[in-house]
Amino acid sequence: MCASLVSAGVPVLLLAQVPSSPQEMYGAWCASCHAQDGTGQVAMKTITVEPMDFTDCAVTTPEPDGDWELVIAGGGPVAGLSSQMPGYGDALTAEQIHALVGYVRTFCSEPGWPIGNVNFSRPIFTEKAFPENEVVVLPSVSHGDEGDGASVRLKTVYERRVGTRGHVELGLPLQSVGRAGERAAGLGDVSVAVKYVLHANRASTRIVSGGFEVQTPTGSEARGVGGGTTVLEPYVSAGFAVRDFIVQTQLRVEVPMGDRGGDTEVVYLTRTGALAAAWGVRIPVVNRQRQHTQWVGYLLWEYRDPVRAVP
Amino acid sequence: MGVSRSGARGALTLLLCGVGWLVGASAAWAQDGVIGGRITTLAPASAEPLTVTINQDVCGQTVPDESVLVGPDGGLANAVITVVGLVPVAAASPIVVTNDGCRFVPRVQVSRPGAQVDLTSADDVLHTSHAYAEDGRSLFNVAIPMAGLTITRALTARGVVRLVCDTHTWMRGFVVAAVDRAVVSAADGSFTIDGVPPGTYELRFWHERLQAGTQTVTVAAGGVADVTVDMREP
Repeated sequence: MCASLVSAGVPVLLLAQVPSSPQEMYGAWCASCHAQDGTGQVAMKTITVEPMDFTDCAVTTPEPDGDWELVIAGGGPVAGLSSQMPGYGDALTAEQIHALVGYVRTFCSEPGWPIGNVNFSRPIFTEKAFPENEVVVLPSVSHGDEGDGASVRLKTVYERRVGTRGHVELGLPLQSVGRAGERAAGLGDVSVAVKYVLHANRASTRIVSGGFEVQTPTGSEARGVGGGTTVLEPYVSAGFAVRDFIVQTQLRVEVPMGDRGGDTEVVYLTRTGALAAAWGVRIPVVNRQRQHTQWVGYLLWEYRDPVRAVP
Repeated sequence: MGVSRSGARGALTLLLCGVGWLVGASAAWAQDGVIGGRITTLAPASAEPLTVTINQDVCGQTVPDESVLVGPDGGLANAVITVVGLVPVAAASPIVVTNDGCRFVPRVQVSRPGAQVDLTSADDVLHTSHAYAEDGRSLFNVAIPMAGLTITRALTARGVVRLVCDTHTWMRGFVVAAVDRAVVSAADGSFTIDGVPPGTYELRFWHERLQAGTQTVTVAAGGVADVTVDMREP
């Protein structure tokens, strides 16, 4: 695939005729479908699908620039959108496409919406700082004490954005626990949480959010599928982009209202609990030419707490 | 300056080989025949121009409706004639589709699956070249926002590939990606397929609006098989 500005019998366009500013480019090349004001409502429709409303901040802010640039360059199908969105990658430079994305962002006039450039990939265990509209299924498997079987938990989290920076979520864990040769299964402790973006800088390199999660004792402690007490968990999550690296971190405090053990998400490699590992795989379902399977994971050593008790 | 005896003998050998190749080639051509003829129709030609709804400054107020182009004596242009089982004589060369006057030019072409198509524009306005396979799959959709730009894509389907411009909804173009030999009828409906080895062949006919049944034709060694086909509204 290639493109050139030279072809026999076809005059080369004078550079003066090419729109230069992002606003001019948008007006010449995007407005016929997306409308001059970004609403997608044009007097003379030429396409059969409904274009995105760029003035809807909930639509235009959550994704990073890279996703928008990919669609402009490769066309709608690269992101599962309509094929009636053509690809401009052979016609425009990367700088022009980046400038167009910047211009499209200006249609969201409501202040406060964090831009998707700080919508970093979800880490395995730390809570991401960016608010989301999504459903997450979190499986985890851990061994038990000697004589006990493995514990399996499948937690489904429903997340919903509220306003420009807010986020609420509901977590429903289904658990199967082996204990002394017997197995118990059922609904574990249901959790509810709120999160709010405290800071997202204009350069889209850092984001800080504060949140509060409550775990309710809906599970049966006697059967081993619940903690038996309410747990309050205030936390602060942050994400930073430093060149090609992204650092995400979380400070979380668990405050049990009664007597209860702690963390249950980590797979402990040692009986002391000082060494933990996490791993996973991201398998792309669409656009497999551009996206590849990723194996992710970490090894965690709590060097200041080598004798931590097994949960 | 003279020529050595060995050098002269080498030159003579080359000359004899050249003559022998020419004789062999002409003998092969003498065996091949030609399928020629005309595509006609009684269907009326598209008469009413199409109203331009956008970018009138570049496209004008109307553009001609080229869906059925009929000559004075009923000759039908832009019909595709395919000789089933006749392998194309040469590798497919790239074809060019030009967005010109808010029309695809040429409107109908033949090519081969996998062949290269160069998409270009002579219009100083945004065009898109959106290709669809016969089953409705979108093959590619490229924006050509400026005149003079050429973008290359491959024909990744076989059969009739339909080109539309999502900005100018009246624009239509067709590329028939044929495995077999195929040609497009001229403005007067005539067509010629040469280099056809003797034998009996099935001919198939395609037109964007009209249709005709298949025909069987026998080509004699060095002969011309004349075919006249009337295409009608379905």
